[in-house]
Amino acid sequence: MGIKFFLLVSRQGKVRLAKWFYALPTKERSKIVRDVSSLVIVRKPKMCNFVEYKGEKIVYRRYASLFFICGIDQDDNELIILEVIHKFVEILDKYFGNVCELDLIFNFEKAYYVLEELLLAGELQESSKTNVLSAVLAGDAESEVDAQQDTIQKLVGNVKKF
Amino acid sequence: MVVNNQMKGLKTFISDLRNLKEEKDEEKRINIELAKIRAKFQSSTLSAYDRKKYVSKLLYIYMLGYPISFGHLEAVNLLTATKYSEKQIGYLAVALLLNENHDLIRLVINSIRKDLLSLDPDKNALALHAVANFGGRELCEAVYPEIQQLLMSAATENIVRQKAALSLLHIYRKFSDIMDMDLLEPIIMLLDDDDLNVSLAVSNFVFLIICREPSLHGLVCRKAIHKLKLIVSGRGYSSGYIYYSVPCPWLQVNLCRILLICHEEVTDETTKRTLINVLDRMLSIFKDYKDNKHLNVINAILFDAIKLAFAVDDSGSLYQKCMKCLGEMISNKEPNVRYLAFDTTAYLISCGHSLPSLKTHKDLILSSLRYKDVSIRKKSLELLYMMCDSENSKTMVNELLIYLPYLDSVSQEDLISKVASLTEIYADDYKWYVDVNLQLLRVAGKSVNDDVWHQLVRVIVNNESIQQYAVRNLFKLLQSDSTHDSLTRSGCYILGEYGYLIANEPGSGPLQQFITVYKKLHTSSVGTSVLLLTALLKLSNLQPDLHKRVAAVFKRYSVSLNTEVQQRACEYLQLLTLPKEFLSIVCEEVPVFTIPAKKSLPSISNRSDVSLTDSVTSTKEIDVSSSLPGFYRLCWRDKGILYRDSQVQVGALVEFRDLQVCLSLYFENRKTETYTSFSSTLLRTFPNFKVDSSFTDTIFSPDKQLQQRFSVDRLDELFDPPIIRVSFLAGVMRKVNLMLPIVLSKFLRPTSFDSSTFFQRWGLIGVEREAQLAFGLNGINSRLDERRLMKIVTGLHWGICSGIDTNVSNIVGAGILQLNAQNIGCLLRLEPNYQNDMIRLSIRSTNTTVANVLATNMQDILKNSFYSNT
Repeated sequence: MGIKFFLLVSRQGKVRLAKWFYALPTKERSKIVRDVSSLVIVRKPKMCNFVEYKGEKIVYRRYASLFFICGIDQDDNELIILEVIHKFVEILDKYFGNVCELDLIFNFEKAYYVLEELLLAGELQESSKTNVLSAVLAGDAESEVDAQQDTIQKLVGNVKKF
Repeated sequence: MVVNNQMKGLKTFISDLRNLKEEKDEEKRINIELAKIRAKFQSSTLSAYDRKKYVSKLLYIYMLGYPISFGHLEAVNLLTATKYSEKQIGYLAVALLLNENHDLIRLVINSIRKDLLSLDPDKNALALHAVANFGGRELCEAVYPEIQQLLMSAATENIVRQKAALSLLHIYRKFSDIMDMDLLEPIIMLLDDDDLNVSLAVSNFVFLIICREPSLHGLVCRKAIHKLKLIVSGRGYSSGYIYYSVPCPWLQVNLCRILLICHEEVTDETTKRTLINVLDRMLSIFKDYKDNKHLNVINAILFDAIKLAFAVDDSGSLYQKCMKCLGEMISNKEPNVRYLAFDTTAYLISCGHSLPSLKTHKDLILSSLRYKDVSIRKKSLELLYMMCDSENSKTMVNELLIYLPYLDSVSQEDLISKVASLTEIYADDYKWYVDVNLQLLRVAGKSVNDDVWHQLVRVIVNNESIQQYAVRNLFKLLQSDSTHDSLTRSGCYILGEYGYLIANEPGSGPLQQFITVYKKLHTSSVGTSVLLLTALLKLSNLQPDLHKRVAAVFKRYSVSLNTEVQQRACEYLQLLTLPKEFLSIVCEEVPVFTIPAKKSLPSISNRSDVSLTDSVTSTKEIDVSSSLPGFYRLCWRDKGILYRDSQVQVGALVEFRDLQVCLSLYFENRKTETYTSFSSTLLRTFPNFKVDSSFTDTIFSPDKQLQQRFSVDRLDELFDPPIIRVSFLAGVMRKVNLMLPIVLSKFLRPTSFDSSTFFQRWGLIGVEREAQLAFGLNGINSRLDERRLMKIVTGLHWGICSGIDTNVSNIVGAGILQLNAQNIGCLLRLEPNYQNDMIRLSIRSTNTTVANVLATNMQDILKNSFYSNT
């Protein structure tokens, strides 16, 4: 069981997010990313959402200009993985408010944080949308506090200079 | 909703990159930025905010696919910071930039531990993610106690507990030796947790547990049925877990998959009824939600439910329901559903379920061969292949052949190798076999794999009855102007060998044969030309009239620009000048091929991977030394490690049921890389020894365990322990020979006698049917140990008769062996000498050979079981 890698690739083949759930040399990773994205991008909308790649199964779904791609084991349940992808998109949508590719480019780290809350060790860890969202927002809130402290300190520093 | 406006520099950098027109400019811009960041990192006045910003930039550059060679230390510094925002980016950077064996990981172990102990659940979460993301051995060993604490403590928040469960799963997957095995049972108990998310996380863990620990199947089975029943009946969860009107589909799927493995533990009728009812209900969902937009979720559950339903009860009411569902899914227009319906059906057939109603869908499956989606084409071919049996094989092959010309080259190749292997499996007459294979060569020669035509040649050579027929038809095909290499090669090869068989038939005399081959020579590739020259040589050997013409051809090609062809032509030309007897010896008909036929064909997924070799290789050639320590140990133990090195570990479990002995082997990958071409082959076996089940995967990933089961139902004759060869590709080809702990003493049933009976029988058998051996121990430091000795003797299935011998240190035992439906009594007397570490062993049995085999085997085991370190 379990997801082996999770990729977000644009229609032009640019990687927007890549998460690996098992250790692999960087070289092999980029080869897989290249191969898999070129395999998926050319597929027509009415084809099924599964392709095979070197004994692994690739489950993907396209949302607007982005392909969400998962590599899974041969005997995993493909449809349920498709729902994992969908859930991820739903959460991103809620988080960014009508998410688009640009949001994910400029806030790539946020996309990672959301994924981290959803999947752990290649398995779905949290099936409730609101829980994932609140976990990510809690992190944001902590960062916000940090940022405010930063500003205050900066101001204090400035005042001291005078 | 995103409020974060920090790190303006990063945003500007990203939009800068996006505004560049050309790829080259991007690289330039990135190099400038990298130089700038490097300079910043070297300066001593770097604020925490800047560090965060620059590391983020590095991450973005890394994501674009550029290698990052510095900044790792800064990432580590961020991780160990106290502020959450810095920590967060630090954890992300370390996960992305460092691999688990990087030296710098050592620096963060303490910090991760601190975060695990923190009272802030957000920090716990970051640390748990880190363990799951890049937990190497050192890190996992260091934080294992804290994670276990987090998972088991009632004070932990649920969200942290589910993360702890999955981090622990990571450890169990990769370094199971770190895990405390007593913890497995409590973890299984957590399936009952009220929080469905904890339950979900744990279910992933439990799946791996049951793959590894058969002894826990019973417990898991009960828990899983209970949980599934709760969910399906609509109880035990809150509304937050409903996903498109289905309660927690992920958990349902996981539970189905878990039960698929351990459902056999259901022994009582009530539990079985419960399970059947639950499944019945799940299958009924299909009807209820037909209009639902999100059929996906329902189908996801349905496919796993069907697999489970078949396994639990493949005859009753469930069966009807399943068949109806499957039928509707196969004819469904949605490509995903069709794909999975094919997949599931192929799986069910491979499990041995008969699906007679499938025949009604055959045409639809066949027509899917021309579906525009390659994934579906592939699946339908796989399914058709699985649907083949001895009855329908001929019609099926014919129908597949109809589709052959219309396919793309990849599918053609796939179809050809499948058809070729079908003809081989189901051929009852060779004529059909030859016909079909020739058709493959004719219609789609370019997609024919070398293996396929090699195999064809091999079959023709090995079967005299078919040779004339084959050569006649091949000759006919060769007449065509354009033939593909594979046809030319196989055709000319066979013509060279057996052309004389048709030399008297009109239109195929020696001269015509010569012309046909000669014509091909102009248009062929180098590899083929070489074969053609050989064919000509063979022709001229049997038909002396051709001698001159052939010599002329060789002469012409002896100046060929290609050295390979040139060399061949020169050599053959020389051969022709030598005395005739010499040529006929060189060109003698090829002998029958001895390679077992099946091996050469590409192994087809789903068909069993164990190839039983026909010829039994003699033991002396097989080196099994590496598995001997494990072998000796397992001779007197029921479970343990048979073999272990840095790459693989093979665990073994021996079980006894009545007279049956079962052996399960568990293969584990100890590295983090995935091995390919994993297979196991029986090198030595005996007639009663059967392979019950075997892994079908040839891919061996680190988190997986492969299993193989063997059994011996009864014994008809004495045997040597079987040997298997495990081979796999891990960079280089690795081969390990393993001697399996199936020895005669495993079949012994312990019995006990009182003193008088024992000596009566001992005397009755007499000294002439006694095997006696006296020996010392191997290894200089070996010391005989009384307790261990006793353990071994009982482990070897001797019933101990205590207090019989006058010398108390002597061990006396008895056992009964059933061989060829006869009971053979065996008696043992073992006299240990603890001062000199020597043993005298006497075994008397009504069958002298049995006594000898038991004694030598026991001697080997005892000699090697008392090393000082064991």
